[in-house]
Amino acid sequence: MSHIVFDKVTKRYGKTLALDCVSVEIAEREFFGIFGPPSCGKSTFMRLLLGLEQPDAGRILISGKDVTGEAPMARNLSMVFQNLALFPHMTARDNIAFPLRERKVAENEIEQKIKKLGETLNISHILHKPPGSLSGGERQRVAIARALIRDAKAYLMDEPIAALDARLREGMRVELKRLQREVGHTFVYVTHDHEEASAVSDRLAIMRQGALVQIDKPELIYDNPANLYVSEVIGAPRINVLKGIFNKGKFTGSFGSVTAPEDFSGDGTLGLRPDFLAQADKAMVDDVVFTGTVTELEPLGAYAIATVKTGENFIRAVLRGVVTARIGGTITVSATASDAFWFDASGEQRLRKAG
Amino acid sequence: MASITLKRLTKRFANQTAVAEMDMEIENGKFVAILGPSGCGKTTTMNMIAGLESPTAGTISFNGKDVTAMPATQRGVGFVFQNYAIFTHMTVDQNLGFGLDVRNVPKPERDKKVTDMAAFMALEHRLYQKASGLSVNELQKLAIGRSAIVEPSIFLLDEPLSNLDAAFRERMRSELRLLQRRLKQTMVYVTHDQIEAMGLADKIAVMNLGVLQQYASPQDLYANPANTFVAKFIGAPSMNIISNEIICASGFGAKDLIGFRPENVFFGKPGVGDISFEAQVTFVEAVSGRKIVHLDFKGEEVLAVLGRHVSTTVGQKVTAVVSRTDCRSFDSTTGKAL
Repeated sequence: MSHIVFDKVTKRYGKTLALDCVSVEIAEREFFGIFGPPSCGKSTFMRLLLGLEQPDAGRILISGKDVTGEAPMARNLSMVFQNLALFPHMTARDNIAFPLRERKVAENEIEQKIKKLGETLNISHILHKPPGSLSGGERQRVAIARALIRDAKAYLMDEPIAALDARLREGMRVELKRLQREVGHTFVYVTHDHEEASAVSDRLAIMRQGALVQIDKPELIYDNPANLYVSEVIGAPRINVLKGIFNKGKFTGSFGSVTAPEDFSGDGTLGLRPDFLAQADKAMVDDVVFTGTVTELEPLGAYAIATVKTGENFIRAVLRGVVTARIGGTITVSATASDAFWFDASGEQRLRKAG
Repeated sequence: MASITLKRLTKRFANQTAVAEMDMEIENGKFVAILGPSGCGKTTTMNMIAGLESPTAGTISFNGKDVTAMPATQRGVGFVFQNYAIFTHMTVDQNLGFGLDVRNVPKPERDKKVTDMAAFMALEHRLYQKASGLSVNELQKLAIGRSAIVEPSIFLLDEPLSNLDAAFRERMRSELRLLQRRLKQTMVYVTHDQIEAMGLADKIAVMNLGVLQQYASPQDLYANPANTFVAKFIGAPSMNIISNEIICASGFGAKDLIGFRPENVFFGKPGVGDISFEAQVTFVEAVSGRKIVHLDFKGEEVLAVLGRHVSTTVGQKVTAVVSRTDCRSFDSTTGKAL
């Protein structure tokens, strides 16, 4: 049985359609990520799940029970917000204890839970300090501990680590995932950072303009995006997008002409991840091959990103190992046929080879 | 155009040293990034170059001329801040033309420059709209364009991209490089984001706790970090650094710290001279087509970055291999590269 169910949920604010008939089932103990750009509807999703707002149509179920219309308290969900909302005048310990003291839980039971959470989140040594004297990462952990101390049906997080700097975020996302495995709770996690979304989620929902456009394991979304939008928002460096016309096994546009599946025709779009393009010494017959001039080389340590001008277009390729390419030089890059994503002209539909 | 020379540049605030005896030479027309974590002194350094802050000791020279005591307004330095400080009640055209107007640049020349810059920044369709209607991304482009248009000999940028979303940041990185190539200015760029610094700069100055750690090209910083701080700060995920007392690699000192990058670790059979160790997979992250595999090796966490087609499962026992040429060693007390 699914733990959390959105059944054709729609939410409007005036004329704006914030959620457009969204259906999704989240399993128990799942780390479920929701990713999308600002104002795509992901926070609305959270607010509806929490019960802070009610849908205009559709049902929301938690543990098999229809909770549509029920107040937040009745749903028993726990939430971590981006702006932590810690009480500045209380110590970390009192902040964490707060939800249980509110519920009149016995002090010795609270103490036991704080001890365990303190160890899990590695904050035992700072529990006596007020939030003001803690670092950003420590405050974040305290806020997470406060959310986790309660036995809730699910734990909701809205951009919980967005305010931390890049290094801390990398560490925290691993910790969050480990924590979720350890405590075995259901996490619903909203973020606008695609790397973070991919790193933490068991399954990831990609949201656009109030609709869920793809739900799958992160690595499958990367390898097999449903449409051009998904291929563009998941993965860095950003995917190359080329417009052209299919004709008898060729795809031709302002970039030149490359091999394409025989059975495609009309206008189309080619999406090619820079990561899938390699400097080609010898290309296979049906590889997608480009030759052009290197206009830009960004050395990023483990790899370099080359910008290659081919015809009127610029495409980017990730070069690994010893980079022999030079700015102004000619380079040939290729991708194996199965790594090329073909879409219709609008990019809405993925085109797949027959058979 | 100008070169910038910092000699023993020092700034103290009350009881704290923000920048300590910094020596640095920024060549004419180069793109230099000052990189470090928050509080490392990078913004203070930039403020001193701009003349917004005066040093406690040391000198700053432009083209060999000492400007340490020169007021900011006379230094001919362009500045872009993180919070772009655009005049929102004015149009894009008025904002872009502002620096030219106060310098009384003749109208035809002024208009041509504004049109060119607007086109370069892809803002031409917004030229006669109020800046208040622009998106965050457009505002930041406008801020950069407004400073660049007067062609200052030195262009300073303090975290100009940190408010922008990831996709747009990536695009702005290339645009900034193009802009710098076009204007051939000396650009100094402050950031805490190592990817941004690596992608943009000809040379990077890595700072920590007010002290310059290393000043080198991006490739050099990555391949030959001067100490463990630089080794850890450059590259994502961070370099693995383990005591040789644990890894017991021959050819290194018994107490040396051995550093190797996650992307240089592979699983399989070691070749002659390779360093290898038995470890257990504790965690796997799939990010942008790579797998970041967390390994437990005698209680130490070691990371490996593998391709998307490699299959690994938590709990699996593996032989992790690193080529000796991919290892660096550091002194266990000073952290300095050996």
